[in-house]
Amino acid sequence: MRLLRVLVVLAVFSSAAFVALNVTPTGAAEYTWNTYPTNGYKIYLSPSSQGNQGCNGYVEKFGARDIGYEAAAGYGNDLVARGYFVKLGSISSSINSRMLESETWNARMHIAIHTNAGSTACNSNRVASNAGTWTIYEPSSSSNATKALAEHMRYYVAGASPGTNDIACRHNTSCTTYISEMYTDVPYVAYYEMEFHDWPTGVSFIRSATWQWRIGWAVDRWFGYPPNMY
Amino acid sequence: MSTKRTLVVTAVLGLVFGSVAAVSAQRTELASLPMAQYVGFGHNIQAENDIYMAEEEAREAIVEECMQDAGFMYWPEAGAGVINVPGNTSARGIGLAESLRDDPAPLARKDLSPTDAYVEQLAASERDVYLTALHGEDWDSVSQSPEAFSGSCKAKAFDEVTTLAQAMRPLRDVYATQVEDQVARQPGVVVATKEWSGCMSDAGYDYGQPSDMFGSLDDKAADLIAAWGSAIPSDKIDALEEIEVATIDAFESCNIGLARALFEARTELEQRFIEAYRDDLEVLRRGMWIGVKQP
Repeated sequence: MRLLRVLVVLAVFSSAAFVALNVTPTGAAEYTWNTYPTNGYKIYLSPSSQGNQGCNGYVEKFGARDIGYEAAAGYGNDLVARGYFVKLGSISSSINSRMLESETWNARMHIAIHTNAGSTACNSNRVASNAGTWTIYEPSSSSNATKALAEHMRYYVAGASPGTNDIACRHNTSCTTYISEMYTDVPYVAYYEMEFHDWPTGVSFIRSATWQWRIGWAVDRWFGYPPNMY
Repeated sequence: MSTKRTLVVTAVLGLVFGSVAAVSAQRTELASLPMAQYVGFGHNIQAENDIYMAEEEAREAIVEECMQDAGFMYWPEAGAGVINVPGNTSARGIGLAESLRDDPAPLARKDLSPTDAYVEQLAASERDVYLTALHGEDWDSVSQSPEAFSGSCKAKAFDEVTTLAQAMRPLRDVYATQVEDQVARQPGVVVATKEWSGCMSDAGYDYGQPSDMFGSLDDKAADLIAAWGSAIPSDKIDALEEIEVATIDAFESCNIGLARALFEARTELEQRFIEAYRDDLEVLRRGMWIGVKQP
């Protein structure tokens, strides 16, 4: 069986063609920006696997996956265009599977993507003042989900969301339960609750495709716009 | 993981990447930084991703066998979720304004993987049994513990395949602290950054460092999107593009000295790092992972 596994792996890889995750502008009279193909940084996007339902047929795991696609390679200057390698986790997996995927992929930053409000389908009391984008941090030394990173990630993305109660929230307090993912062993861990899915305005925002590039903006700002040198 | 399985995966990687090395060499001729002789630090990122893919192939085979033993179907899919975008896309400037001209319709979503599609059509109780076998108890909880995960087929696979990430883990944070975090602080880079700022100022752009310049361009794009959403008038995008291209032209002419200083500083820091950790780095030597010939 072991030999068979080796042969299967070998056969697959003999024919596999890997396409680099980068964009290399090379216009004739234009500046060739990417002298090298990539900045060498890997970003793991971890979409929620929760089936929570929101307004207008919204389901959290599918919404989170779509946010990940847009952030990686969608409208505007996305992560890939900025020179980052991106991997998007499966929506049919568990927290521990995605943590280990991120760690074994050697991600530089792990970004969890959720939308807020749990399984509350549609809440008539939700308005802009009690909605918004939340990020979560864990201050203990055993976590790389720092408050500074949470504040930073919130700042660059929250400006787009319709809710105004945008906060960076301490892990395992009244605003959030215990989240294993805060302890993912990669250098930087960010955790997003991208708006609330229990009000129609929030769902419309989540489903629109013009704001997810801000995740790349936030990441680039955090790392100081690393040059594409590899 | 048994030593045998480690060796098997390593041998496979060596054989597989014999052909990959030639392709990677084209990319690495410019990346002649000292640490390029090792893998795991981003200097050979395409090859490193190939190594990851081989690891995942091995893991997926283990998961398939485990699930079949438990009476379930499973469709191995290595590399799932990696976003592949063809390179060599032309753009003016850094492509920022150009990106706003794209059709803002959501991307065509990749179909669910065979396993995900299978899971979606299961009844809730069946889905729970299946995903518990695959991912462990509390598979859908954000609080899932390592204990709940252990015993699952995914946990078995992660346990049994040693990875490049594990091999470089002891040096990951040391390298970040002693090399990456220090580059911008090197005297030559500090001087070159000031010269860069002065050069840009002479060209009419007031930035202290390149990240300020890139951030400013992003700010302008954000303002446009905030004002117009996905229907930004083309003349507004043209205006941004004009600013972007002019800024990047100035950047290009001012950046030669800074780019050289960054490269020299990084080269020196990496040489020092190699001197200090030569023995520890040996396991990450590029030749041990890529291009190993079969006996």
